[in-house]
This record gives sequence, C-alpha cells and structure tokens, in this order.
Amino acid sequence: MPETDELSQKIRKCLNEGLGLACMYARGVPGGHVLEAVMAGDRIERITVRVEGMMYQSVTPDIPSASLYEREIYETHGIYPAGHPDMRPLRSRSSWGPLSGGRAIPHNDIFGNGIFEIPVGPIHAGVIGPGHFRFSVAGEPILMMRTYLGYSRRGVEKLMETQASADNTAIAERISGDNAVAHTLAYLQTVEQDTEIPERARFIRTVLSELERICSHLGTISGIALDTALAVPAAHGSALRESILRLNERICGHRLLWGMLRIGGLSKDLTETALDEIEREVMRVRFDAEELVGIMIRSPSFMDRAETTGRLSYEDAVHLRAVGPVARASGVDADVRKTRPYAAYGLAAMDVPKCPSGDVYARLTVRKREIMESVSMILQCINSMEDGPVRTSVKTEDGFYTGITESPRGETVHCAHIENGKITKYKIRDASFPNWPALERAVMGNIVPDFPLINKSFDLSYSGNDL
Amino acid sequence: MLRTAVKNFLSLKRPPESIPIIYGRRMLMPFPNGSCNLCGLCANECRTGAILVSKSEWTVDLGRCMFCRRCSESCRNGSLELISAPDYTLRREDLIFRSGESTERGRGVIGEDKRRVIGRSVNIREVDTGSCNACEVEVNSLSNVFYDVERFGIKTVASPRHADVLLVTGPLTDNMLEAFGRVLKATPDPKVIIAMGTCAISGGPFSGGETSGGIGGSADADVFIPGCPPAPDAVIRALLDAFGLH
Repeated sequence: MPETDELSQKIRKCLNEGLGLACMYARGVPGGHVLEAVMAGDRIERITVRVEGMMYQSVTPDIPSASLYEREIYETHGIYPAGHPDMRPLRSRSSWGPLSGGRAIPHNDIFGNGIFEIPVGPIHAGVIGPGHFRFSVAGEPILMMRTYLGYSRRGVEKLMETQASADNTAIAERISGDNAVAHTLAYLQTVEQDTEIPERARFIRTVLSELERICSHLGTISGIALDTALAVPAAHGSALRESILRLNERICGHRLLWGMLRIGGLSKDLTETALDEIEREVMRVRFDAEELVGIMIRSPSFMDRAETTGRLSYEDAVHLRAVGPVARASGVDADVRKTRPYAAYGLAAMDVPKCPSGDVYARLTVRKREIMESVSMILQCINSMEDGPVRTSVKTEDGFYTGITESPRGETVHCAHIENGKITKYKIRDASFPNWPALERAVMGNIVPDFPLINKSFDLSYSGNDL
Repeated sequence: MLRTAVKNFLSLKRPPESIPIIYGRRMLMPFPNGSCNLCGLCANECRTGAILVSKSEWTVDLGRCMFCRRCSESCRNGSLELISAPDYTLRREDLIFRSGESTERGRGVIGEDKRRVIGRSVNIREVDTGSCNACEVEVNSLSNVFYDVERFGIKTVASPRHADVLLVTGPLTDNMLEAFGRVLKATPDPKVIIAMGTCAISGGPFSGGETSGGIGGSADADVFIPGCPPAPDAVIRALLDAFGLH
C-alpha cells in the first residue's frame, strides 16, 4: 500500500497556519486518481496528491474534519482510506455508487442492557427533506445518534459539468433552494474568475444574498418557536418570513430570488422604487424580529428548553470544522464575508456576531443578531449604490477555480476544473455537509423530545448535503 | 349582522371573503403571440427541453418548464409573452400547450369515488422525494397566517398512514425509490396523489441525473401542479378546485 502521509502532512501544515479543510475530493486523471484538498481561511491553498492504486493512508485519525470527505471519496471513486475509523455508508442507500451494492444501514455500535435503538425516517413527520436517523437511547437521554442521508442525491455535480460558457445558474439555484443566491454566487465565482463585475451588480448581489439570509434565519427562528410550543411567536415569525418572500417576488419576480443572477452580473436592474421598498420592508422586519425574539426569551418555559440544550463545544466545532451560525454560536470566528469578501462585502462594514455557549439559545441569538447585521448591510449597500450597468461580458479561462461564499447556513464551496473551455470536474460542498456530524455530537446526552429543537436550531439542508 | 353570524356559524363552507385574495396572483408561463416566426432561439435557451419548435408548431410542456423566463428574455422579436398558467391539471398531457390552440384549461374535479371519501377533510402528507427544498418552503408557507390552509379543512399530517392525499415533490431520486414505494403501500386507499412542481412531474433539470424523472413511472398522479416551485396561492387554488371544496 502506498503511503500518502504526504497528504496528511500538507493538510497539517496548512492547519497550523490557521487554514481549515474546506473541501476534499478525488479526481480521475490519466492512469489513476489525484486527491484534491482545498484549504480555506484568510487565503485559499490547494493541495494535490496523486494516489497510486485504489488505497491510501487515511488522514482522518489525524484530521477529524476529513472523515466525511474520505467516506465520500470511497463511495464515488472506490479509493479506500486505510485506517479510517468510521466507514459507514454516506450517501448510498440503494444501487447508487460503484461500491455500495445495497449496503444496509448498520446498527449503532453501542450495546448493553436497557439500550434501545430508535430508527427515524427517511419520511419525517414535518414538511422537510428525507433523511434517516438512528438514536440509541437509555431511557430518555440519547447516548448516540447517527445520520444516514443521501436520499436527495440527484447527481447535481455531474449536471454542472458542461461547457464553461454555458449558463448553469438555473441548476446552481436548485442545489439547495433556500440558499440559492449563495450557491449561485459560488458557482459564478468559478466561471467569472477575475472578471471585474460592475459595481452596481455587486451591490445588488450583496443585497439579494442578505435578503436570503434574513428569510432563512426568520424561518429558523419561527421553527425554534414552534418546537418549543410558542404558537404566537411561531406564527409571527412565519408571517415575517412570508413578508420577505413577498418582497422578493415584487422586486425580482420569484419568491426565492431565483433568476436574478447571471454570468457577468444580473438578469435585470432593480429600480429605485424597488430599492426603497426593500429599505422600508427590512427596517420593519428588523424591529419586528427583535421584538419577536424578545418575546421568546422572556418566556421561562422557552429558556428552560433552549439553554444548555444541544451544546456544541468550541473544541468540537473546531475539530469537525463546523461552519456558519452553528460554528459562530460555539465561539468560532468564521465568516467568509469577513475573511475573503466577495460581491460588495468588502465595501460594507459588518460585525460577525458570536456567542460562546454553543446551545440552542446561542444559535438563536446569533441568528437574531445576524438579521440585524444583514439589515444594516442592505441599507449600506442601497445607500452607496450608484447608477451604472449591471452586466458585463465574461471570458472564462482554463484552470482550477474555487468559489466560496457564506450562505445562511455557512461556508459554501464550489470547485471547478476547466479544461479546453469545458468543466471536467465540478465539486460542491454545501454548508450543511460538515455540520451534520456536529449535530450528531450536539444531541449526545439530550433527551429525545429535544432532538427536533436542536435539529431546527442547526437548520441543515438535506438536498445541499446530498447533492 | 346577527343573521350572517348565525348563518356562517352553521355553514359548512369556509369564509367566502378569503377567496378573492387567494385568487389574485397567477404563475406566468411563456406563450407566443401571433408574431412568432418559429426561429427556435427559445428552445435552444431552454435547459430542460420544455420548449419544442418545429416548422409548423411551437409547444411548451409546463411539466418540464422551470419558469426561469430565459426563453422570453432570449426572444428577439418580442413575440414570447408571459401569460397566466393553469394552477393544476388532472392529466399530464393537458400541461402541453401548442401555439394556435387555446391556453384555457378546465378546473376539473378528481374522480367522484375519491372525492366523496375525502369530502371536506383533506389530510395531506407531503413526501419529499429529493427536492431542492424550495417546494418544502412553499408547503410550509401554506400554514402561515397569510394562507392558513387549515381554514379550508386542509391539514398536513405527520405520517402517510394518516393521509388521504400524498403531495409529492422532488424528482424521485434512485435512493428514495424504495422509501417511496413503502409510502405508497402505507397510505390507505383510495388515495389521491398530487405531483407538485416540475421535478415531481418530469424530473425537471434533474431528469438526467440519478433520478427516475418524477413520479410518473412509479405512481399514477391524480393532480399535476406545475411551477418551480408553485406559489402557495396556486397550490391552494389547485387544492380547492380539484377537491371541489367550494
């Protein structure tokens, strides 16, 4: 077996320099495979290591955040990471994948008197994506929870492998429908590359991206209220969300902002009236959201459910490389908008809200404060916007390009290998992908009835994870 | 006023004042006016092959359309207009529109045997067969205070075993095939199957991926609701009309 300790050493070196493992995947090259790792932090490093044969030394024992990626590589390419501690199936549920061959979902590896296993899903009780969970419980407390996803596997990455000049924004929007702007902006970064996008288009892209964030966070806050049996705040939250969805429809013709982003800019400009309307509406939503969260946290029954529930420690968040509001609620300072600004984020002042406690309450607080920040950013963008073109022509060069954006759920990574004007390999990593293991960790020791609440506070995407 | 109150109290019908509000907005679909010269630019632009242009005829299949409007943007002589789309149809072939033919579709009601069993209590189980979660956003919106479908007797229930109606979204991925088969078995007959959204009807953009291209091959849908995703208003109108809840 060839030693690929080279990979481990290179990743370790980047980790020591403060970068994190953003994505890892295998790519077929003539005569074998290469492993690609994308390290992101204040800069982006690409690590490429050639694998001889179909086996290499796993890096997971050394770098826990690589676990999911190595399982994924095994399922898609059949390259086995020797020494990997946890080779459960990742996405293959039926006949999908070269090696899955109908691998059954294993029992949790925890046994003993009075320990029961509760299988849940893939059809859940709520209106939500499909996924299978295995809870091992002793009485009410959860000793262990394992997620088995992949039911939403549609093969999006393959569909993105087209001519580089082809407009794939319609597919990128449908990777995870409620994070459409973030995914599309990440895709656009890989094909627009160094093209200078007109300033007005960059401002409007930022506004759209923040509208999406407000909408997503309002949905989560409303869901948290619903799961803690606060019916009035839940109705209030979903009404606020609906008002943003309707605003979206009025300004760009689609409730989830689809169809606005195009290669080189936007499909259409926003009128002054539309911008005024955004300004008015987000100001109203800002104060209403603040009031809404105020009602929630003044209720003792709510705080009893939210505080210390579903705790994700700072160490776990760093080791598993959790991203987005989940990581920030555990005290990790990570926000792509701040570290590597895209669109017009470099031109607007923003604060990255953080909370140290890592429980449901912390995630609620972070989301609330992010709504405030988003509103402030939208107002800054609208005020500094000047008239001008919103679209330019783009020339796509060959090479390796990454697009990294901050979706409402966290860091979203797209990688494109372009050869002879054609995308030969496209890799997507949604923010939910590294956060699912963080959820497995956070529910440990909590009672089963609190799982829906913890799950909602994480707000993970099934379709983005499964692709 | 007292009389109205008593009448409303005794009435089995939902509050009539809510109807004009819900019947306001429509989904928009592309359709050529008289000046179309069948150049085929729109068909080239269409990612899902919803538009077919032959020498004599222009057709659009709303079951494949992603409602992205790239076709009408690409039209050089402005002959592709956006017109009101039907909220639902009872037959798959009714979603195909040909130039020169009527774009009106009747608001039919599902088969009487099923409608009688369901009556005014429509218990829906939403089944996600791999959608991008946009349809879930809209189904969740149905229960917010703006739409509040429960006032029409429409409820979302927690299990297929409690359901009369399966509201299916997503392109039916290969990984969901087995689970969806079990859902069909678990739902008591007579059940109504609704294909909601482009993915469930035809697979939409994912028909070339690891999917079965919608539920067409595995289950007989009774109602087709086009849209990507269909707006909540359209879904409510479709449910009210198709189940004869007026």
